[in-house]
Amino acid sequence: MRSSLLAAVLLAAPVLAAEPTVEQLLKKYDDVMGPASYEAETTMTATREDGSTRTYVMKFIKRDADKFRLWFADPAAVKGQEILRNGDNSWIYLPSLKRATRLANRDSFQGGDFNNADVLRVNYQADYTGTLVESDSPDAYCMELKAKSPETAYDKIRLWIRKKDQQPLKGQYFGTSGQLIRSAEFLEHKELDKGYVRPTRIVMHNELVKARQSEMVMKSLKLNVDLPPQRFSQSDLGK
Amino acid sequence: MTLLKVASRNLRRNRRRTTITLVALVVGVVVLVGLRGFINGQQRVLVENLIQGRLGAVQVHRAGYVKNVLSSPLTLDMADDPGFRARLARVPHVTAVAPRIEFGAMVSTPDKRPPPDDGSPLPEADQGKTSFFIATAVDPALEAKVTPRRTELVTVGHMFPDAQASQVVLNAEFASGLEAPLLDPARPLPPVEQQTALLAGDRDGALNGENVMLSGTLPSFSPGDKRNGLVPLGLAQKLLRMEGRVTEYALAVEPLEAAPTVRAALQAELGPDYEVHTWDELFPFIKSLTGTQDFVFSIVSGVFLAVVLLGVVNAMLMTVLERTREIGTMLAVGMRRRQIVTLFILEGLVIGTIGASLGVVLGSLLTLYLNHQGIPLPSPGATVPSIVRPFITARFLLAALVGAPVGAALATLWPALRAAALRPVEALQSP
Amino acid sequence: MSRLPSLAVRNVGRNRRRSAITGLAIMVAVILVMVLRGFIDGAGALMTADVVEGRSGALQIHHVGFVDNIEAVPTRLNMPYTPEVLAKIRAVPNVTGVSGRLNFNGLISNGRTQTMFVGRALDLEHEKEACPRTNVSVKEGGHPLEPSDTTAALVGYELGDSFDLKLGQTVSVQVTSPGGRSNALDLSVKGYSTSSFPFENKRVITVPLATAQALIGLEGRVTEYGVGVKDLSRLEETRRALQATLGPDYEVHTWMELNAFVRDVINRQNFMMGAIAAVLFIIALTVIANTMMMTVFERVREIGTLLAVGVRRAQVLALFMLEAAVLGSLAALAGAVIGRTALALIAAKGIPMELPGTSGHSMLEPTVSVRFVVGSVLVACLGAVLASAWPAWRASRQNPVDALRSA
Repeated sequence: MRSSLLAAVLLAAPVLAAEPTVEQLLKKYDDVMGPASYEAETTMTATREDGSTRTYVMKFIKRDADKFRLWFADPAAVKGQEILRNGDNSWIYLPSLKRATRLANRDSFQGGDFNNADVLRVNYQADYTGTLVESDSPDAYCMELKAKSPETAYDKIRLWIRKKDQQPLKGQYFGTSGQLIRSAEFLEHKELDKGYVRPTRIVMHNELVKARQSEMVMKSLKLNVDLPPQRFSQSDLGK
Repeated sequence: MTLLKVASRNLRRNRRRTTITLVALVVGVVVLVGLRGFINGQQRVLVENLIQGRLGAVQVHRAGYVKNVLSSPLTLDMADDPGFRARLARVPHVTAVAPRIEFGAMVSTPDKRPPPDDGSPLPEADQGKTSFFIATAVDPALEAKVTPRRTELVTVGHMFPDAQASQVVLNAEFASGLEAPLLDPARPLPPVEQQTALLAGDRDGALNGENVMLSGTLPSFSPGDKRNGLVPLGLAQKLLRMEGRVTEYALAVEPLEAAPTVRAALQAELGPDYEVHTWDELFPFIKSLTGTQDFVFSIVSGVFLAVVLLGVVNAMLMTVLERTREIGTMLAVGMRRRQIVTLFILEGLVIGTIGASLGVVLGSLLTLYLNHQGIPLPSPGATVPSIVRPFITARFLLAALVGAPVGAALATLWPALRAAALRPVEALQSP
Repeated sequence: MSRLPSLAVRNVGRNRRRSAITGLAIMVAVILVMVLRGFIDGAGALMTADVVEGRSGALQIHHVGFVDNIEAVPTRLNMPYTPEVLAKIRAVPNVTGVSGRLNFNGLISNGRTQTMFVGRALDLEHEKEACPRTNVSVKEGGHPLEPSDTTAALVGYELGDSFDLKLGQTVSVQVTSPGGRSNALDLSVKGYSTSSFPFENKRVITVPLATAQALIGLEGRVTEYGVGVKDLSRLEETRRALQATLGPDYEVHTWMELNAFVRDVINRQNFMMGAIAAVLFIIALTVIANTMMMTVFERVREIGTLLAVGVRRAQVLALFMLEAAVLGSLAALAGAVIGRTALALIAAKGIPMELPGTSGHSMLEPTVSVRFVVGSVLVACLGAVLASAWPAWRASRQNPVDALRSA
C-alpha cells in the first residue's frame, strides 16, 4: 500500500526520479545475490560455539530458480562429495558410497548458519513485500521486507542497501515472533564478471548463539555459462 | 528346659490341632518364599534385559560425557587399544570390556525404482526415505561378553557377524517406517544403488557415508527407543574417521552387586579425566520400578503374615479354651502365672520353628524347581519375551526362619495371658 | 426340620466365646483379603491412571501416518484444533473431554551453546479434560505451567543442568515451520521437569500450546488430540466410534497401543498381583476352615448326645452347617463392612507412592469393587459351611456311644 503510494508520488515528481523504488531495489538485490545461472568458486568457514572452525572449499553451479549442484574440493574429508538440489529433492554423492543418496531437506546449509534460502534460492521479489523505512545511515537505504506467505524462510527481513551503487550492506532476519535470528554483513564488493559487482564476503551471525557464525567468500563467479539440464540430474552425480 | 519339654509334649498330645496350625504356617512360609522368589526372578529378568541386553553393568566415558546434551559428543573420545582395555579388565570383578561409540547418524533408504526417463521427479511413495537415529557402534564379539542378551533381542534377522561388517541393526518400528530392505543371507548382495546408506558427520562435522544392509531389528524397551540402532564398531570408526578411538566402554561385572565397588576402583584407577557410572545411575527407571514392587511386596507379605498368625492365635485360643481345667490344675499345684505364659509362648515358638523350617525347606525346593523349569511370563503382545527364573536369597530365608517362630510366639501372647489370668478354682470347675 | 434354623442361631449365641473366636477369624480374614485386593487394584489403577490420566489420555488421535512417521519434522502432519472438531469428538459416547497437543522439535540455546530438543506443547486449559491428573513432575523450586503462561517453559532437568540454567532465566528456542520458516522465541524457565526416562530429562521441554502454535506458525492446529473417557472398559468401542466419526484422515489409538512398554509392565504386575491375591484367598479360606474344623471336632460329644436322643444324622449335619452359615455370614458381613470402611478411610488419605516412569509421588488410593466384596463374603461363608460339614459328617458317622466317650 505504502509502496504503491510511494510509486505514485515518484511518477508525479520526476525531480525525485534518482531515488529508486522499493521494487527496483528488490530486483537489484535479486540480480546481485541470485543471478539466474552461474558458476562460482567459494569457501565457507563455519565457526562453532566451542571456537572451532572448519573451512570448506567448493564450486557450485546454478540454473533456474531451484536447480543447483556443488562439489567439495577441500578439506580432504569431504573432497569429491557433491550435493544436488532440484526443486524439493536433494541428493548427496559420497565417494565412499560411490553413488548418490537422497538427503532430507535440511534447513541449514552444510551445518553452518546460512539458510538454504540465504544462498541458493534468492528470490526476494517473489517472496517478500518491501517498504522503505527510515535509515540510520545517510549512505544507505533501509527496507523492511515482509513475507508474502508462511513458506518463506523468514517472517521479516531488514536490508541496508548502499545508496551509491545499490549493493547490499547489511541484513537482519527475523522470525514470526519478531525475534532476531540471524544478521548478515555484506563485505568486499567486487566486480566478479564483466559489469557484475557483488559482495564477495558475507558473514552470517547466529543471533541466538552469538559465538556461532559462518562466512562465505566468493573467489570467482561467471555469469551466463552454458549449463545443460543433464548436469542437474541424479545420474550425473559423481561424473 | 523342663517347660520346653512340657510344651513339646503338649503339642504332640494334641496332634490334630498342631497339624492344622503347622500346615497353615508351612503353607504361609512356602507362599512367602515362593512369592519373593518369583519377584526376585522377575526383577532379575528386567535388570538382565537392561544390563545384559543394552547397558553393561558399568560404563566408562570421558569426564562430562553423560551430562553432555550436545548433539555431537564425539569430541569426548578415548583411545581404544589393548593396553587401555587391559587396564580396565584388571580391576577386580570386571569380567569383560566392550568398546563402543555412540553417535548421531542418518539412514537413507534407496528409491524403489530408478527415476523416470522423462526427467520428471519420482512419485513420493517410490522415493527412498531419510531419517536420523542414535547409533551405538559395537564389536559383536566383545559385546557378546558384556551384553550377551543383545543377540537374543534381535528378534527379526540377526546381529551383524563382526565389527567390520557393512550391516546395521535398527529398531523394528523405525526400520519399517523407513521401509529399509532386510538383508537376505540366502541371496546375493544387491547392487550398491539398492543398499541403504548410513551417513554421519565425523568428529569434525564433515559428512561421510557407508553402504550398509539392515541385518536385523530390535524391539522397543521404552519411549525414545524408536530411534536407536546398532552399527559395527569398525565400520563406525571408518565412517566417523575415528580409527582406534571410542566414546564408551561397557564393562561386565561379576557379581552384579560389586558394580559400585568396581565403579570406585575404576574411578581411582583412571583419574578425573574419566567418569564411571553404574547401570542404575544410567537408567534409573528399573530401580524405581523394583522399588515399587518391593514396596507392594512388603505390604502383601505383611498381610500374609497377619493371616497366617491369625491362624496361630486362633489355634492357641482354642487350646486355652480346651485346656482351662488343665491350667487350673497347674495353677492349683503352685505353678507361677509367668511360667504358664512362658509355656504357651514356648508352644508357639516350637510350632513356629518347625513350621518355618519345613516352610523354608519346601519353599526353597519349590523355588529351585521353578528356577530350573523357568516360568514363561504371559503378557500379551509383550515387546520383549521373558522367562522368569525365581531365586531366593539366604538372607530372606534366614529372616523367615527367625521371623516365623517369633511371630508365632507373639501370636500366642494374648491366648497365653488369657490363660494365665484364669482363677484356679473357676478354671477347675469349668466343663 | 423347621426348628433347625432357630436352634442353630441359639447354638451360636449360647456358645459365645467359641463363636467369638471363630467369627473373629472369619472377619479378620475377610478384612485382610479385602484390604490386600484394595491395594492391588489401587496400585494397578494408579499405574494405568498415571499413563491414562497423567500422560497420554485414554485415546490419542493423530493425522493418519503420524505414528509411523519417522521424518524429522513431525509438525507436517497437523490437524485443525477448532471448536467444530472438538465438538465432534466430545459428542462421541463415553468421551469425557479432549485436549490438543503439539509435538515438535528444534534447537534450544542459552546464548552460548545450542542443542536439539523435543518439544511438547499442552493446552493447559483443556489438558485436564483429557488427562485429569496431568502431571509433568517439576523439580523442587520450580512451578508447573499455568493456563495464563505465555512465554514460560519446563525444561528437562539434565538439559537445564548442562545449560547452567537458573529458574526464571530465558532460553531461546528455534524451530522450523512445516513450510520451512524459521522462528525463535525467548522462553523463561519456570521449572525443571523430571522423569525416570533419561531421554526425557535430557531432551524434552514442555510449553503452553498457544506459545508453540505461534512459534511454529501453526495457529489453530495441533498434532495430537488426547481424549479422556469415562469407562475404560469400553475403550475399544469408543476408539472405533471415534475412528468412524473422524474418517480415514485420522488415526485413533488406545493408550495401550502407544505405550507398549508401560502396558507390558502393568500386565506383568497384574498377573503377579492376581496370583498373589488368589493365594491369599486360599490361605484365608484355610484359616476359616481350620477354625471351623477345630470347633466342630471339639463338639464331638455334643454330636453324640444329639444322636443319642434320636436326632437323625442328616439333621445333625444340617444343624452344624446352618450354624456355620449363620456365623460365617455374620462375620463375613461384618468383615466386609469394616474392610470397606477401612479402605475408604485409607483412600481418603491416600498413600504416597513412587511410581516407575514418573519421579513424582502419586497417591495410592486402594479401592475394591462391590462385586469383589460380595464374592468374598459368599466364598467365606461357603468355606465356613463346607469346612464344618466334613468334621460334622465324620462325627455323625460315629457310634453315639463312642462319640459320647470322646475327649
